[in-house]
Amino acid sequence: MSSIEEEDDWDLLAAASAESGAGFAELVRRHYRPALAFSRQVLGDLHKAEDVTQKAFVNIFVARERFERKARFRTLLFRVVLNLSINEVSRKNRSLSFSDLGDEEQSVEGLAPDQNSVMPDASVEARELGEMIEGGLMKLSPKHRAALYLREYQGMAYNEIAETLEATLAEVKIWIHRGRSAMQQILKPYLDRGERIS
Amino acid sequence: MSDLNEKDRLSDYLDGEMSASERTEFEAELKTSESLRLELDRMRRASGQLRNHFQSKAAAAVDDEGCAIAVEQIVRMSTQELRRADIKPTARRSPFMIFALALLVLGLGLILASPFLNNEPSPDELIADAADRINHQVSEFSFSLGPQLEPMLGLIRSRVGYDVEVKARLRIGPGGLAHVLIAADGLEAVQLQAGFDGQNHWFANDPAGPIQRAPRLEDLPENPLAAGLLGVALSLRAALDEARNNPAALELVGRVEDEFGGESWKVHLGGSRARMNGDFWFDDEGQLLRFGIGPVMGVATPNPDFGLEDFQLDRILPGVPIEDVEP
Repeated sequence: MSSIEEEDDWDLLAAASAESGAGFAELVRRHYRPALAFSRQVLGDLHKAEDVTQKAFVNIFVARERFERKARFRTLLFRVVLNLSINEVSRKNRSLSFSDLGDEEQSVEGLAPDQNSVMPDASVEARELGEMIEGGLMKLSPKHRAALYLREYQGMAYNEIAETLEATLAEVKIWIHRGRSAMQQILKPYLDRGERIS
Repeated sequence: MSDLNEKDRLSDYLDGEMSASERTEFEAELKTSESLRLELDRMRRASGQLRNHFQSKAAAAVDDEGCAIAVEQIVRMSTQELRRADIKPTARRSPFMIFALALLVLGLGLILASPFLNNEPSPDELIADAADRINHQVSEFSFSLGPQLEPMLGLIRSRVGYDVEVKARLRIGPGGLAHVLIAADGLEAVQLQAGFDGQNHWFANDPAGPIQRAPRLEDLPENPLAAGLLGVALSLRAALDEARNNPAALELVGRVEDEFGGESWKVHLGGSRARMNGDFWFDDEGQLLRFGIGPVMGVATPNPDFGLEDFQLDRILPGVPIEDVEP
């Protein structure tokens, strides 16, 4: 008989009950960190991301009998996390434009440093670079950020990203291409120097 | 080839999303084009930097101890939530309970002979379909705001000088399109309108002045009437999103009769974990007939006769001057 660590995600979810949380605990343990990191990237706020991730797992647990094994469990989890994160953004700021929740990214101009400025030392540079990238990401819409994150960090294929974001393949391609272009714009001074950025 | 297409190809190549023949062709091109190689290298390095950034953010998010605490908390909350919802696993019900329930359902079926008992819809599927329609098609609702409409009615009456028949209408479409209108029927001079035109323009009009337009809602000058109007569109979208993402907060109330003798399926959104409360009514085909969110009651217009172009400002308020508001 296989150990609980080897069981399929969906089997763990199916076996979970109010009386026995062991299987579900294993499922949460497997996916908590990536789900939290994903939500944080969409929301830009760790504490809110913790709440959203918690709620996503609770919702999935309560409604577990309604889900079908059509896709990977992670796809379902990330979709719920994304929807809750976007809700959180919407709830936090009702004056946010619809485009902020949708497809249109804001300009990233002005985030890149002046190419002619004196370059600081490596540690300061790395920190500033991180801040610039984060600033650039936060200028993108939540779905652009999500698509970039799922591709670059989770290594998802375009079709899986489309399923997770409930979008078409064409939309996902555009989001990833535009996101990368925005990042290239931000990183231009560094890329122009032809250096590997550490 | 355009710059965008070029970047598309670079991205597809980096992500392994090219077919074998496309890849072979692209790699042959790479050998002969230094600029393409340079561009690919830039994109690869930018991509790698982004990956490093995500990696460092993820690693800093939570340590092992924090993760263990979170897992424990989630499992405890989940099981508590399940017990609260009283959703007990079928396998643990006694055979007597199952038999009694079966008898009860059979008895009700025979007594009522209702054609609907065998086709009871799933509330989350109804909501998901309604949300998809709202996000992908154009829809129209007439609505009432109850007491909150009074200030608007007062303004309209003061302009007209007598009590008038007022219509309140919400049109909503894909990409955040929204157009909300309150007007004395046929009297354009007292129309109050607000919306989002799908081209990054939020707008609101004062009947006495120009249309004010801004890329963000918050940039429009303080306009409680416009805010109230747009609140209707925002509330409907938010309630459907909440309902879709929080299926545990949905309840199929059942088959209900309206004041005109028509019947519909009523779904309630609420409970301690729901951020919003609301009610939705659907026909047998799953079409959203009505909604009630806070003080707003909306009734769907069957087969509305308008399209995406009708959300454009020049169609909504033709000839009215536009004032762009600077952020």
